[in-house]
Amino acid sequence: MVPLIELSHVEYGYDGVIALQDISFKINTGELILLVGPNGCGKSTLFKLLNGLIFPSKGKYIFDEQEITPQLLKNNSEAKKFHKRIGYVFQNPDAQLFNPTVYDEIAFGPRQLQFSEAAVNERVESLLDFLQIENLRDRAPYHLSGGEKKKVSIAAVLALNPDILMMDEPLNGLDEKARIWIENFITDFSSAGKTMLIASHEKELLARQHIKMLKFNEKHQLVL
Amino acid sequence: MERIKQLKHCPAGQGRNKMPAWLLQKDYYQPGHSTENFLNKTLLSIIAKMIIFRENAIGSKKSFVSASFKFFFVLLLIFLISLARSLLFLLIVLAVVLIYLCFLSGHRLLAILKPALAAALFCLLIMLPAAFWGMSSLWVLPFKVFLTTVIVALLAYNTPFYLLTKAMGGMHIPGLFIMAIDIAVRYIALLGNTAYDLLIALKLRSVGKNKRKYQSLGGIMGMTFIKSQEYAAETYNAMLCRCFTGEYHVAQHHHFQKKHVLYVLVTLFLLIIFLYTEGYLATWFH
Repeated sequence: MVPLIELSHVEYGYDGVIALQDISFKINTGELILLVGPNGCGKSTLFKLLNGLIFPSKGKYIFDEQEITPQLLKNNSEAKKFHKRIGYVFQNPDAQLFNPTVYDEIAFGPRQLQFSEAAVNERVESLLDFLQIENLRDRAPYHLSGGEKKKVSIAAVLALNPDILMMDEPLNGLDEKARIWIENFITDFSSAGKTMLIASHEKELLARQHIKMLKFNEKHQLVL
Repeated sequence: MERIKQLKHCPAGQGRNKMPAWLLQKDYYQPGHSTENFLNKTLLSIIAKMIIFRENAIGSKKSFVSASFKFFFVLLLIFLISLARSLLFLLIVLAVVLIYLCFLSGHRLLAILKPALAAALFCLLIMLPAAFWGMSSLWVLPFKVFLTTVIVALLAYNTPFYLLTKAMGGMHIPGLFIMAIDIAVRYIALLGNTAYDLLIALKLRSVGKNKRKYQSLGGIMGMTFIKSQEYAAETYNAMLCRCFTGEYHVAQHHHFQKKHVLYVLVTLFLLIIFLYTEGYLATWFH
């Protein structure tokens, strides 16, 4: 099987600080990967790298048999194709929501893909129903609670139907009900054969079958 | 709590809504050709500004010259440059500034010289009508503007903002004014991060044609504004909770050190050069 994501001996540093050191792993389609490690070990940097926001100073990042390089992503068409295939849910939903209403927030992606307004509506409505946030349709995202914002940011990313969903600390700062909802969502989404990469400190997420764990140490390396 | 327990124990697929069918299928998407770089350019300009703030927040590890002296010296220098009628004094200042600039890295040099040249050019444009009236010293004012801007930029690049505002306290500038500057600088950096994250989110989801990119940018600006309001309200409440009553005290510790003698000597030297070049000390030296 050809891996969806392959990192080989990747290193990354900034301002003289090493953030990632000799990172190598593979993610196959349909896998659920949990990224664990102490604060500041490089999890968020790895997410940036996987999303093509930064590039390895050493080593290779291959996404679906194509090496991701600054030159490749300078080509707008290639960059858009790449970003469409990766859904990234930020740790802080406030940093992700910029549209006037929840509907517009979710519709942003499908509209970008130049869907007809009827198709956009169908996609948005199905996501509102799936995430049980129909009541938030016309609300402004910045007025929502933490759990609601998280659901909207997930819906906004899912609207692009990405090949892999990456979530950075999805349970952070959420109440018990919202945490359970996110845990159930991860179970459902993963059971449907979707690929997921989750960075978290939470032990609850570990108590799952078929989960593959990548553990960072404080030296910014992966521990086997 | 009962509802939470029920939620927790319900098996996958039950009690939760069904995943849309389109989400279970793979999309094959080929974006059209596009050469638009609007978002990348906006992001790059924000990153450049954030780097300046990040570098400034760290500052040099341990500077021999204190921030208070730098602040005082720059104010004095600006005052003398404004008063100077002789070209010699301005040229001496320029020579010293140029020597100092030679030791800076390329990107710092550019960051200092760009605004200084822009300010001088702007001043020259404003002064241009005076040329028609036969004003011979047309370029003196732009020259003074250039020197002043370079000196202020050098101060800003070499001294962390928190040390500068602390130095202001020593000059008996009102505490509330210092607090306003302190908080403004902190929140420019904080809101810059918010705007940067939002732009990244926009970039990651900009996977097709965005006919309303300025509307999205407006949304980001609006969100940043709302965040600034939230931060302002929360900070004010936090300050009230910590006994803030409208007074802001900047801690000052004045101990005489040997280097202070050097500061006085440097200041005296500058004053002597100024007075000499302006001709006030001519009788002493002849």
